[in-house]
Amino acid sequence: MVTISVLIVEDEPEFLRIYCEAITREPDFRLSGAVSTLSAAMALVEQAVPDVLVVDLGLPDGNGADLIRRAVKRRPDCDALVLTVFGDDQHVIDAIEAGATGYLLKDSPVGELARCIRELRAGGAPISPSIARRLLARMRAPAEKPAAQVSPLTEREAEILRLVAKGLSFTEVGGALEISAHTVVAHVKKIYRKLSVHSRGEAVFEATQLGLLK
Amino acid sequence: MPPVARALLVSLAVATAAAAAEQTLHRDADFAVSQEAAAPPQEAPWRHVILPNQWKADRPGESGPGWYRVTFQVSQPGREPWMVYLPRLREGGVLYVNGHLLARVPEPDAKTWVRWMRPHAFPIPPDELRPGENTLHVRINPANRDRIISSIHIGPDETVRPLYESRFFLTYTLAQIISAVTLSVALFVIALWLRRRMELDYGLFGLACLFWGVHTLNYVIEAVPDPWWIYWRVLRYAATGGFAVAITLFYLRFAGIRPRGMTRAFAAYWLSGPLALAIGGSAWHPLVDRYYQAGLLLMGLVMIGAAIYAVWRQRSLISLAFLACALFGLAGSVHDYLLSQGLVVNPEGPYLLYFAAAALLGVAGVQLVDRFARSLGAVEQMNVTLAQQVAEKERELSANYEKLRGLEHERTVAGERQRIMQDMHDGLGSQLLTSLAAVERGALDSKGMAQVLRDAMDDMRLSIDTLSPGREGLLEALGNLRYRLEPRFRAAGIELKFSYRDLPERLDVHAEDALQILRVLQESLTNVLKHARAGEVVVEISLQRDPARFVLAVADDGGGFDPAIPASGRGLSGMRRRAQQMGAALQVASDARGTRVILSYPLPATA
Repeated sequence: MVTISVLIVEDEPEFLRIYCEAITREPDFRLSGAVSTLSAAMALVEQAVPDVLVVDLGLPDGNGADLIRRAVKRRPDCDALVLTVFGDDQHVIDAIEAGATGYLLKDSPVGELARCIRELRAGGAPISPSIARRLLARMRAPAEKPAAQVSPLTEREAEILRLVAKGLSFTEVGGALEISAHTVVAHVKKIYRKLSVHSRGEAVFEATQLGLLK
Repeated sequence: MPPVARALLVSLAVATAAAAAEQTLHRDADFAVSQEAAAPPQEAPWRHVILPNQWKADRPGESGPGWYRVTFQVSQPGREPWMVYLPRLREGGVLYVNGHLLARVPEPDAKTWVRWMRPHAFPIPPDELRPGENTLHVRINPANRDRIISSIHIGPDETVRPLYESRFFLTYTLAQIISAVTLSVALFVIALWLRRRMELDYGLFGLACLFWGVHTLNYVIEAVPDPWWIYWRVLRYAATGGFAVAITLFYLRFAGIRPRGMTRAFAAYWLSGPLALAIGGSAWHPLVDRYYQAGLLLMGLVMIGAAIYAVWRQRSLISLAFLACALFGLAGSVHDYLLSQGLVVNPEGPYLLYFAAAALLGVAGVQLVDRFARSLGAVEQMNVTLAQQVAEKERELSANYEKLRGLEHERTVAGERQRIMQDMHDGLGSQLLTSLAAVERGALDSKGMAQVLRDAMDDMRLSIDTLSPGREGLLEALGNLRYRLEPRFRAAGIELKFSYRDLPERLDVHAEDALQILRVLQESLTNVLKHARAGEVVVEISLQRDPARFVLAVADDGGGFDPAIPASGRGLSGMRRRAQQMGAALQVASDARGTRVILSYPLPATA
């Protein structure tokens, strides 16, 4: 059996414990690490990038987004799952830009973490209406920078975001577009990847402009 | 040589030649009546007369062609060319020197109407003259209206010609010039007036120029084929009267007098003469010529009155000039009138009105130009002032706008604060308070405690959802709620279904009401989770029209409860209170097959 390696980064001991239990309970998951600081997590990632990174953004010694960026750079097929208290949009968008493909409310039922990781590994990704709307606005906004002139969204992807933003579930979106719910979540994941690549492109462009990169 | 320069030279010549002129001027003549083709003989009953002579007034009874005889001395004929010059020979005549025909000035006859405004001069062939006494005969046709002859100059060409030429310039060339100039000015000013109809002064001035131009043609066109004569006269009187009326009205307006009735009376009088002549024909001509023109003189009095009024009110140079012109104009008119009626002392004097008219038009023109320039200046000044005012207003407006925006912002912030306070008070605050009471009473186990905290979290999320900026309205918030609750329903093994009917792209509901609607939905759904033991819950969201309502229905297939028992609780009273607060209706129906909660929220008319 192929096991899924999971690294958990969470500074709250109580949550760290709950998440570790949720992972170790699953026979096909393997806990590759459980740390509470950014520096420790960075050190682990430098050795080996796990299949899945479960990370809290607000860490005592830094931003979890930096860890995600590093991990995804080293191993692009790594799935990063962000833990969030309120699911408030800006933090989630920031994480997706860093390379995250999923996010989980911290008070979700215990089984949700495992389900979410399985969905991610199966090629899907979750999305809430607010995030969908934000992504639409973000990726369709009139280009302010020359590097971002072309919308990276396909018509189908934009349609999916519009329907999700209106409050439809993946099954309902799939029904409306005559595709399976699984295809819908696969599209969502692709959109996340695009945003992350897109924002990396912007970062490169800006860095070049600033003379940081040659 | 330009006409003006020539006129100056001529007048100089006139002055120096004055002494010589005395010798050439003949005022003594003899008069006789004779039907013969040749001049009456020496023994005919010649009578002494003084030139200029009006034979009609002198001897009204006499008929037949009238002959005037003037004798003059020539000492050395043939040494220099001689000339005979008559300042006025209005209706023509035939001149003989020593019995030989010298010249025939065309006279009015059945075919042609003639009235000579120009002077006449003819060189005398040297061989016609003899040493000593010579005789000039002038024959005047008795059919002529006035039967007038002016004084006669006879003398050497170099003495007489300048007199003739200056007279020709004054009475003929000048008339041509004035006619051409006034007609040109008239075209220009009338074109201007047609573009700006409200500027009546331009119209009156243009018409005055036009009429005066046409009137002055009368001095230039001296012979008209007879069938046309009557129309020529009609036109002439129309022009003269039109000029008088237009220039009088112009100066009345200049003086600040706007008499409506007078304008109509003037216009009516102006039309009367030409109409009478056009309808009545030549029989009416003497009457019109005498009385219609006399009536026009009265307008001169009106003008003088207006001029005095203007001087008194304005005390300006231009009003004084106007008064002078008006006086000159009236004097000239009276003079010309008497002259044309054959009633004046000096029947050979030049017509004066057209100098006076030129002066009147000139002053009017100066006044118009002055006003035009002033109004241009005023417009420029006004533009500057206007630009300043606009800039000033712009500054005020932007300052006001800034202030308004500041106030608006303060108001929004205050409103939001009020809403958050209210929300804390009603929602989270009271929830925590009742939970605290229950914990202190020892009535809550850890599971109950977890539930209380979870509810508090949920409530806070709803607040955040509706408070966050840039929300796309109620539908998105409902979607978010569903997205959040889905894992719990999944964990509980309950299928959560949403159905949307007739919904618009977005639905904007006031933030407070949106929060209440979300709370009702959340409460209903958590009730299903906690109590219903259901397999499926369906949330139906729809819009209804007439009246516009947003309807939210939550139906589960659980065990149901008795809504009549208050103790069953389940937050029903809270939901009712919320519905009431936003003016919505809440229906709860429950039986053994399940529970159904329907919230019906009235939308604003514009939604």
